[in-house]
Amino acid sequence: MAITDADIKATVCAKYGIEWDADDYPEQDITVYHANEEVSPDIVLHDVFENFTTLRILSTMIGNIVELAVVGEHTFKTGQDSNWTEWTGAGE
Amino acid sequence: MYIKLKSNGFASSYAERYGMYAFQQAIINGSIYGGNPINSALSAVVGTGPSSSVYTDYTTSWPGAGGTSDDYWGFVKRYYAYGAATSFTPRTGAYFYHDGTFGLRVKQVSNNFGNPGPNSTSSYWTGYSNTSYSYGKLGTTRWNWIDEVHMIVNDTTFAMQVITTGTDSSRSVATMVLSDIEYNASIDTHSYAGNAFYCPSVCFHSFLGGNPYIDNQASYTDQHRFTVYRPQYVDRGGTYRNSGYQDTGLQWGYVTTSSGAYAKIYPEARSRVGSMQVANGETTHQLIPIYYDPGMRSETADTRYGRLMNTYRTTEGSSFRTGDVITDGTTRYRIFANCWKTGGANIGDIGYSATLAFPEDNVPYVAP
Repeated sequence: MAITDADIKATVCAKYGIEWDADDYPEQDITVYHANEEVSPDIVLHDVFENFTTLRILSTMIGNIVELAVVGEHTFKTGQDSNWTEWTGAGE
Repeated sequence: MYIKLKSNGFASSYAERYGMYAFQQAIINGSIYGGNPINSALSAVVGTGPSSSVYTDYTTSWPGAGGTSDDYWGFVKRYYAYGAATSFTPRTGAYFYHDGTFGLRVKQVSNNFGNPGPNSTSSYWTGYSNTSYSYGKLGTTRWNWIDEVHMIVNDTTFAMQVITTGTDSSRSVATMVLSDIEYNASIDTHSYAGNAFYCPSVCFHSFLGGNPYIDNQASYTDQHRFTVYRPQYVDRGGTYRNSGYQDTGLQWGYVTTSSGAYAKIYPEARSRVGSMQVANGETTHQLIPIYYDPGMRSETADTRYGRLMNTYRTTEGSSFRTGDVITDGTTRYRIFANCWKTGGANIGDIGYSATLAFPEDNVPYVAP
């Protein structure tokens, strides 16, 4: 589920430099995930998402935790969804 | 190491895949692919290659994962001062994609292949992505529109230029330079310690569609593009961020807001560079180091200025051709010519062909 709160979405866009063509921003869905602690920052994102080649995925580290901002509709590869927890900004 | 790949015009299915094999073999192994779509007799690898393990395959399963009309491949590149300090092992990468929708393009990425730029993989050479237009679109499927591909593969720098078939007035020239920022032990080791995706590397892309070899002529309308991108940086407050993307001429070299400009290079892309007279009646070509200027348009912008290692501007003009050699003593520099049009206040103006130069031989990191 993508981020729905406009202010949070704007914050995420600013952090990840998502400000390209006006026709793409800010209409596209943006979803933020935090990795489980055991997920290495070296993980190959191609091995995480089925439609990796068509996605724009921004990544950073929150301490030792990998954080991803995924632009657009996406599907996890088998077994990967349990490694990633969606962050919506609610209650934080 | 300088590499030239000459296309043989291969126009059949899986040309994109074989082309990726050619890129892979050239960059990882320093050799010329022997099959289609390469004319191996007219291709070349010259100079000393990068240090061991600086360039590695992103995954051994690529290329070959695409279809009959598309494929992709990528490499991970170690920062040139990789290992200079304890646990300092930054890496960046490049992602190649070739299909009919967005043509051929190469994006800088983080070591996990996130943070692609400029824009996403689903965009043209310099990042424009609205498929209602073709601003900076480099070719389509197959290799029958590619004439030559030139590459520099060194520890500090990866550069690539694709020249399409056609005449001096109709060709397109697409250039991509991925260069490491000069290592600063205080800044870079600290920044990397907090984020494994941090790498002090920058890429800039340029595209000339039309009139690349004719001075004082503009390219076709909206086919002169230029962008500067850095996947991950630290702002003044210590927050890790991804750089924004602009493909609207804002990185050309003029301030666009009251608080600063977008990331650019210095000398500015629009600045002209001429030759100079020296003793003995000779004319010399200056080798001008290129600096990365982060722009500082806001308090959350990148603040890391730095020299782009082994990346130079030199004498402009369309008489240069990519692959030409200039020398400084015994050091050979390879020319990447006709990269963009200099001299205009705005990116679409008429101008003179900008020239880049890179040392042909590898320049490994030497601790100060």
